[in-house]
Amino acid sequence: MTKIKVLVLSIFTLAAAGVVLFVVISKRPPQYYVRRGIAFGTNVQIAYATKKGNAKVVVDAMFDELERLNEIFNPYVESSELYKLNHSNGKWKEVSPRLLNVIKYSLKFAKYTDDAFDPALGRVVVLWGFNTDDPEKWRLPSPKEISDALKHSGYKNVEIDGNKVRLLNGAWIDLGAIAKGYAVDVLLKMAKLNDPESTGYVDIGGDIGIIGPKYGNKPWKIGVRNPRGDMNDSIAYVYLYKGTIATSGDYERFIIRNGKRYYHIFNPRTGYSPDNFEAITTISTSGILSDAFGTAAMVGGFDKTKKWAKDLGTAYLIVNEKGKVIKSDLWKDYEEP
Amino acid sequence: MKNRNVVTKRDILILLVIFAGLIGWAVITTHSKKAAKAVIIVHSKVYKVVSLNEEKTFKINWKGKYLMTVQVKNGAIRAKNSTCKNKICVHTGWISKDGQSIVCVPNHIIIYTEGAKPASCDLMTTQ
Repeated sequence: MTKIKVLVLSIFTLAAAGVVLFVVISKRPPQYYVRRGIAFGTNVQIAYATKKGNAKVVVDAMFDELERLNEIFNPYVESSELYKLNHSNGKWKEVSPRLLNVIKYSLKFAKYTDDAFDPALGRVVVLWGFNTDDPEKWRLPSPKEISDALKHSGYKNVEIDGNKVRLLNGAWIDLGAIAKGYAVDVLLKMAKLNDPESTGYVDIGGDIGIIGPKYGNKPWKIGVRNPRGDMNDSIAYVYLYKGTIATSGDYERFIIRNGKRYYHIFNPRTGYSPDNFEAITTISTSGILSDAFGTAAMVGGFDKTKKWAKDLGTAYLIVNEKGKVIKSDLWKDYEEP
Repeated sequence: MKNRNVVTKRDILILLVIFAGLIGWAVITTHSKKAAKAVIIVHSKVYKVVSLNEEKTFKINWKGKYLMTVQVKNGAIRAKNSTCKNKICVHTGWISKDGQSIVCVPNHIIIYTEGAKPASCDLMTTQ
């Protein structure tokens, strides 16, 4: 064979290999095992990729874990641990380490936020009917009903002694503002325990935790729902390689009476929902913090939110009561991939 | 007799044809779309997979009980009616892009699309 022929054949072979390689790389099979389901009283989606073991087995274990967590934290299911604590008639009750830890965290956060966050507003939540999915049961209570419910509310009625908890004055704990975030943390821990190099995400009803970057090196693009738009309408996007993001808002469980919107988050001092923001989205390293922060911020208002965010290192996007979008400086760091 | 050690026009033509064929295959393979479809999950099980290219309306029944009416039209799908009280699934409206979903928590139904155009983001944070 002549040199020219060898050269031409080599170039051809290389080019052909290039084309095949391009196709193989661009059409690589999806690395993620994705499971969607209803768990923990909400819509759950988990995507997981690991080189250690079977991703499906790990994700299935996560869904099983959510069932166990629901049996601890759902205060409106008679079989749950929290229901039993709420109905223990003021007696000391031994609780599981998980429930104890979350109660302790919530009390600490209540003190930190000068009572803006309060885990013991169960009576108020039930009074308004926002503990159910049924809008026909959501109602505007009378001022007297609200003041009566407040007499049996407040985190100062929660006492802890070792692994025992006592609820005074008939107070009920409702950890709805924090439990989803805690569940995100638990699942992230499970994912990383199986494989520290694993990637993917967990999404528990809009509370999202990043297990690791998409395909190992790309950020996950996350939309922030427009509080006055439809389900799939985003007002902003962020790119996360790690961390957690959660949103609190006034747009899913609400009633409008006399032109005023009342929703499922309450000011512990008044028993009514606050008017500060339509929604707030928080990014932080911990799911429980991102979740709790939003509720506290809705009650505390802008100045306190700004201060807490600076102290705790959280990033936020607020849609204020006039629909204006306010982003913290830290938030802007997440807007570029 | 021809000299077989020399690159002829015919050789180059054959190589070019083979190469063009490879490029064509690459273009078709990388740009081919899976048929857009919707997956309906009821109580954690795949209940039905429907093509988004057809037009139809059907009911979801579970263990003999009616739960939801679903409509497929113009490459999109929606929950037209549902027995749930909050109607969040119905209010979600039409979905047509990958990454979007219709969720009915009370009835344990999730509808999501596959093989459609990607949504503007991987995930959405909501309250």
